[in-house]
Amino acid sequence: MTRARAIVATLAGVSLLGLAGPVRGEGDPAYGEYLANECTACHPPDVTDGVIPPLWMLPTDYFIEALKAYQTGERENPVMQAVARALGDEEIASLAAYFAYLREQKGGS
Amino acid sequence: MSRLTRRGLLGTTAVLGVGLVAAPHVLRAQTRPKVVVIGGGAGGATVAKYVARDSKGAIEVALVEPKETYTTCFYSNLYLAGWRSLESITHRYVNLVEKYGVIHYRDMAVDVDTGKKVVRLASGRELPYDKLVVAPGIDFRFDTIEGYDEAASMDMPHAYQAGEQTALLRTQLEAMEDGGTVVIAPPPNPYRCPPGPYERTSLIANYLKKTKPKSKILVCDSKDKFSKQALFQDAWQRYYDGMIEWIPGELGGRVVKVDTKAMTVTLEGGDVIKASVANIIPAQKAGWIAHRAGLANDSGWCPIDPDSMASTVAQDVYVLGDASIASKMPKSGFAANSQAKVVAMDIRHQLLGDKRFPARYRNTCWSSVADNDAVKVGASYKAGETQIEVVDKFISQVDEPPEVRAQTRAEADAWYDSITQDMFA
Repeated sequence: MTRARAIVATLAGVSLLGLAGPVRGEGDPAYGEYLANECTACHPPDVTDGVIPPLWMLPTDYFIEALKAYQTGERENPVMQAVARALGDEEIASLAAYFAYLREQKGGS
Repeated sequence: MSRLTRRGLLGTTAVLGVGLVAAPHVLRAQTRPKVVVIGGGAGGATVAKYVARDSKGAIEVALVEPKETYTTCFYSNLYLAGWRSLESITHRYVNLVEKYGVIHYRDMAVDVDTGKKVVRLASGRELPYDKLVVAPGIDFRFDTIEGYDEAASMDMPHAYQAGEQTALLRTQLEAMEDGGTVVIAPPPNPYRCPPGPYERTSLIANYLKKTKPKSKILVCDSKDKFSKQALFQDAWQRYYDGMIEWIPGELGGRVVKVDTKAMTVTLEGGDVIKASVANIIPAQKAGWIAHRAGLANDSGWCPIDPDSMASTVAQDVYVLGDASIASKMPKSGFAANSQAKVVAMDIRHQLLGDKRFPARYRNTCWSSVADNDAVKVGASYKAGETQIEVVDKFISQVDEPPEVRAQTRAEADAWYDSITQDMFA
């Protein structure tokens, strides 16, 4: 749990340092917002001391790569593997676009 | 982000929606469409919040819920274990009212006229609606166990509608002497939270092992198999060996009669068990108002359109959560929360012309089995032609290492915090 918190804190730091990539062109943030409703059942809106990160804090490239790694099984959490397998490229791009938008609104990069 | 920006993002194109956002409040109040939500549980609270928040005041949302607070049935087993306080699983509607403008009627819906599109409340007030969401949760079939009715539940609590009943069961467990027998009677399918009675068995055992280790738990089941069975039975053996006995329906485990004065439970197989504490969870059906409104079929539950959760019986009415027939989706707080988001999108599409996307549903159920051990099961779903269908699913494995189980246990707490924020914050 401590390690997970540290990872979240590090990612949040990276995000705020402006390393997040630009919004992917093909993603539809409105579709992403709808899809993100699925995420908010588990992912908190802001930083907590839990083990599940707020998604808007994750850098866009990291977010996309993590979902792809869950799809292939490279990342191990079975909840996220099932979530990721139900998402196509369009869905992942739209989610990424939405969370990037959300990060901008919250004053991130 | 600002609320106005958020609404812009949703791609509202309807003249009605855009016009109303800019209109003076008074004008809006006179003309904006009305949504009435019956029931302030996991599904009802979520749909009320999402419609009010994402329509940014363009839709009037009324929540009909007599109670001031909502105690979640999910996580109430952790209270029974002594891990959580009742307060920590109890939530208020104040954010829905103050942040999103939901009107909370602390009143009981006693009738629905789906022809005239009006909900009548116990106070006599009538609430007209453009769209109605019925999310009443469950009621019990008190005619299925001889001697077990609502009055009997004060001696032998079901504790399957969280709050007073849960507190009563905990008080009885605390008062029980070491060496006592706890009877747990899980209901027949379908019912709220399929792993719930078995997580409860695990966590009551967890409490008893620490405080009254000579005690026994008899699980008197009407079924021959149950959710996460291998995972639970493995945990029972590893953590509570000899404390728990499960009697399946095929071995006569079904409870057919109770006597609350003698504190006895009679099983179908003929055994009469003297219980120190009896947790009798009867068969279930959709909440009363769903029947009153004519939304339920012969099964006792409400048929819905898998793409929208709209009732297939009445127009402009949605049924979500435990009361609905969501086919492969279990009756759970997570499922109700997921379904509510599809309903909220469909309502905004119908009333404001907002974008509509294909329905997607999800469920995940975490079950705690010991202090640092939890298991999970879940799935993604889509709308099929006639029912909600599974896209992908997973379940924890029996031979997972302890660190994975400990991580799942921590994940469950994080999930609880997030989903209750998603519903009530």
